[in-house]
Amino acid sequence: MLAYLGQRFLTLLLVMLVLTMVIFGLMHAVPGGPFNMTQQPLPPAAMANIMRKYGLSEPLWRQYLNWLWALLHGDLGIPFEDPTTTVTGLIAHAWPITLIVGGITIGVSYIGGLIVGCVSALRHNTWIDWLLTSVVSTAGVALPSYVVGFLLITVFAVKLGWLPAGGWGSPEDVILPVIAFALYPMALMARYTRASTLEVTYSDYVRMGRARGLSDRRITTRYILRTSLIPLITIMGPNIPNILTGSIFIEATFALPGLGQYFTTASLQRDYPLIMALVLIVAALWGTCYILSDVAYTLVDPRVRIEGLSR
Amino acid sequence: MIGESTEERLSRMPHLSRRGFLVAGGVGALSTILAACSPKSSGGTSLGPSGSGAKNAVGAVLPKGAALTDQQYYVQPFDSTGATYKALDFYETVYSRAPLADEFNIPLVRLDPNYNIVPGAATSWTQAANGLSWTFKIRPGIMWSNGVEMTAADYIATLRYSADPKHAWDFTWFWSGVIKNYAEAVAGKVPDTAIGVKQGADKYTLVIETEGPIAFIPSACLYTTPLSAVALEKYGSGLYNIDPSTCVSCGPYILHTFEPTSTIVLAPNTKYTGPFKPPIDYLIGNIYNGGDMLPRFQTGEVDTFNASALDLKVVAKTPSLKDLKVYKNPNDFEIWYTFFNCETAPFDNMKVRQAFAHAVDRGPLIDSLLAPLAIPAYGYLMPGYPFAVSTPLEKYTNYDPSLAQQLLSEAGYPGGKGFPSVTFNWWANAASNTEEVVQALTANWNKVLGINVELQEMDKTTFYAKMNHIPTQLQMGFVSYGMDYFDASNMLSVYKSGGRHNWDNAQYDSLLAKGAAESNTAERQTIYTQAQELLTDQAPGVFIFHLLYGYLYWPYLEGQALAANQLGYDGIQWPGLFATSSSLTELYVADNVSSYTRQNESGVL
Amino acid sequence: MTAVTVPVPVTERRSSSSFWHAAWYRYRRNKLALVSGVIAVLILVVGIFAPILAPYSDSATNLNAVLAGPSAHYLLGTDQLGRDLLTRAIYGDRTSMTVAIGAPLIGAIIGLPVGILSGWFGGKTDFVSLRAFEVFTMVPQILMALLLISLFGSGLGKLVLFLGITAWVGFARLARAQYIALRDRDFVQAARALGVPTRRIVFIHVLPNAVGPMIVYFVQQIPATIFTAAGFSFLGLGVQDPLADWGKMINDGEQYLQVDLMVALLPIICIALATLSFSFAGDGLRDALDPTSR
Repeated sequence: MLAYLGQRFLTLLLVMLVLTMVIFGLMHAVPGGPFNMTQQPLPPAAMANIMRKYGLSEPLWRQYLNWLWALLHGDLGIPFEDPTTTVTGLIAHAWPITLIVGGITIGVSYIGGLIVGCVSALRHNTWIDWLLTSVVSTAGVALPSYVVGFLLITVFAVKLGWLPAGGWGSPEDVILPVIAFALYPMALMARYTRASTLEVTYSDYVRMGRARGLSDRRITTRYILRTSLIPLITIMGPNIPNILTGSIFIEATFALPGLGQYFTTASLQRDYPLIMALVLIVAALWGTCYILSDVAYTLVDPRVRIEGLSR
Repeated sequence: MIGESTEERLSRMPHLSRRGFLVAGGVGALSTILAACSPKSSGGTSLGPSGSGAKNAVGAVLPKGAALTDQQYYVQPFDSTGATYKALDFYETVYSRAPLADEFNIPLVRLDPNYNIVPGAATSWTQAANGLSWTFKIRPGIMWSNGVEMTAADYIATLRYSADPKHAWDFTWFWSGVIKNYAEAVAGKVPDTAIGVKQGADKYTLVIETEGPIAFIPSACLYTTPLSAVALEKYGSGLYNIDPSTCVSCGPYILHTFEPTSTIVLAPNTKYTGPFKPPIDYLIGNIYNGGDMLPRFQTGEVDTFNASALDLKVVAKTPSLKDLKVYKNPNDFEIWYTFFNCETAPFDNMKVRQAFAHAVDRGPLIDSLLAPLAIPAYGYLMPGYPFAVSTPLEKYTNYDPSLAQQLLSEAGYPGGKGFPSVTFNWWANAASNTEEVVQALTANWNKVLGINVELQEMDKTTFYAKMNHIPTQLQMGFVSYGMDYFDASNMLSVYKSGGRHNWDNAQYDSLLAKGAAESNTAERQTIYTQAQELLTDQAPGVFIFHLLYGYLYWPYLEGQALAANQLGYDGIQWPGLFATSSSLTELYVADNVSSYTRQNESGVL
Repeated sequence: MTAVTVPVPVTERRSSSSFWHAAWYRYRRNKLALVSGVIAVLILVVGIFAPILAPYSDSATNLNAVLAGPSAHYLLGTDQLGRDLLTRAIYGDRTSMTVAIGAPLIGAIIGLPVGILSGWFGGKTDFVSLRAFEVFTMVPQILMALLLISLFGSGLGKLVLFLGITAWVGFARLARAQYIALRDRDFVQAARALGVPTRRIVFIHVLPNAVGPMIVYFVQQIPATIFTAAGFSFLGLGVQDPLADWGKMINDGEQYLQVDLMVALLPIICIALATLSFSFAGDGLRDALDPTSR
């Protein structure tokens, strides 16, 4: 197991290295730079001065190596959009908020979705199944998060006044954003759990087990859940990095000063140091997620064998 | 608009930003409900304790009807979406200035609400007989907070700093070609000490040498907001002003708090010795990363906000707000227009452009999408702007479908046949409702001319990169310009050859050159009228509308700063409550403030 | 107590056509799925015949009647440019369904084979696939979109292509996971022992067992794609005005909620209807195709 993990993570590092080169180039290939949003074209001399000041006049490969060298010393640079701080500082300020909201969202949505999906499947074709499927599963998937956010604010913050409409400062600020954010993953989770559970429930070996007198609960927990978890892991696994890096919609609707907004603004404003840092975060998270998913398949279903991974 | 770009200003102005849409509905609902249960009813008959006659921290005597000194603060909202905040000084950076910038000094001149240049730090100014320089006399006795007196040396040091290639100032075009040797200094060909900004007969006399006779130097000198020469020398840059412990000010305010993601607070400069003493002694900027401003105004979190046309519709339905006066003024006299790439087909053909110019029905467009905050535009300069004319230009661009079709036929595309599909580029700017405007324009042109104009949205950075590229990479685009200073030479120079548009008309260039050098006002009017007629007639762009900015202020804000000027525009005029405006001393909080709830988020007072 | 074995009949079908007959029969029996299927087909038909069905042309603005309520002229009212909302909804159907079905389809066509091969064979194939997954996931979509649009311009076809190419990873990973899980099962080993050719095993024996979650995923991608496209519209990278698109209509209508509810509500209802009908139809399909289904 350890050897497998070691090999996978090493490969991941190499992939990330290559990726940073590709994205560095991609970033500079997009037209416009961080200092282009001027009403009048900057006179060439002034533009040259600015580029020189920010190290953007050197050849691309040298800029990349500068960046890499600084990275290896733990320096992610200074963001163009807020030069009074560092990239590390910016992220350190914003990410914890996103992580808190994201972490709670994952807990709520995954566990909630699991329960809803299981109940739905086990009560297949009864009214409970219908209700849960159409309301929870589909509403969560068919309504965009900002509409949900708007509804939540209107009902709970405005009409009832129970909860704040936005901002970040007190514990109850977390509640509405989490609900809005969790609806979609919960709906997804419920759908897949239900689908997988149904498939397994009616399969022969489970029928066989029932015929032989195994209790329902034993069947459910030992056989149904385990097998139905595989597609679940595949789909819901990648949602975790998504949620942990935040959603610009949720953050804007609820005025949360989190990390999600930077993914968009950094690209739009060509904030090169910030873009590279965010790419690293995304790459690390996703890569780890893929590795852990593969490991999880074997943990969940002992019949699964993955090359190189012995158990 | 002096100083910041319109986009910068607009992004600072509270409006329904691109992401603001997200909260618009929700918080619009919030405002409606809050209106019903908010204690902020339009009371105002009960007057609180009066502070009239009292002196505030900078030594200003509060006028009659003013509230107590501890109520004399002013909270403004700023939308930081898409903005970067690096500094608080014009000469450190223009496009990345934080809110409440340029308050730590006194510029040479200021602007009054009727857009006249009035004395600032300079008491008088004259142009030399040969026209090649201007001499400003600075009043003595203005002290910086570090104990040094403000003299010409500060202006000289600041302007030299702005030309320094190592500083890489982002607004060097402003003085290039205006101040002698400035462009050469920026390019590194001469040292920055060689620029034409020198001390005159004594330390209170500043001489500005120009490249040729330039008539509008006083207008341009609105933005001579100096850094302290001593501090500049000590710290090497203007960034000392974003740290409260090192901020040096000779103006009525000094930095108290600088948190560019949440709040900026300016406290009264107790060492202030200048002539202009504002009643408001604390300026507070609340910085929001998007979201709707209306509810923040409604709850008293901010004292004012810039209302969009949509906001006004909501306000009209909100009981606690609908009786508030809506102030309107042109702010930086923006022109919103469609520009063409005049060097490639099909817009290199003037008749094609003129056909487009006669095919826009401005009335319904403005009424349905922008009213009451826009007026139709027939030329580049908004009525009220120096040397602007409007009526003579109408005939070149009035809505005349049959004329438009005829022109298109003469250009070789009868009924639109054979006309290539053109791409109309735009970027989303909520303040001018760009998305809807360009769709209306496109539908208009397609219908009247029988052609196919296709819309292409871009993000702001790509749009500007492509537009400003030489040669321009946009075939057709929708863009705006707001003035940098109050003189026709500023706005009209956007269409000069070598600028951001490629009309390249030699006659126009020579008219502008003549106008810049001419000192006689009547003569200048003739020249500029000619220039405007040429511009609208040849239609390198179709001028659609001028924007008006709508402001709401809570009724406890009073003063001449809000009163209507000679053109009937009211509310705080451009450039706003800054050292560059005489309105700074004309705003105060009145004693009816006690019947309103003000939130004090910054916790300063 | 011996462990429960996993015997799945090696060959279940008598003949290919009766498999489909049986599937169709099972599908028909499920009333909910049947009705949903009909609605889903109707939605597609409306999209295809949009120009015939819509009362107005898709770019007919009327600046004298913006944000109007329902009337005889405009059955559902007008939007912020005076365009008939019913027309917008119908043309939006066409655009949204093109994107919402086209992009996942492209994703499935590319992704499923890659996933199946990678899951089944493992080894080098898997190594390459995993690296491809990583690269495609980690390149920031916005940057990629900005570059592509600045080079090629945007448009409906390009959007579908872009979203499709970025969607393949999801399908591939799902297929891979399913095949990894199933390839070492007893019934597969039994089939191998019997000498059944690999191709037959992969497609005839394993696929029906694996296909359930793939259908669910495909169907769920439909609304997800609409919203991804809407997200791109924010940045100007999506469907261009004045083309109607349900997701974009929600974006645009959001700011008018105070003034005219219908502008944003109508596309929401449309998307919800499409989502529901495709979901239930998809569930029914999955149930019908699953040979072990009751």
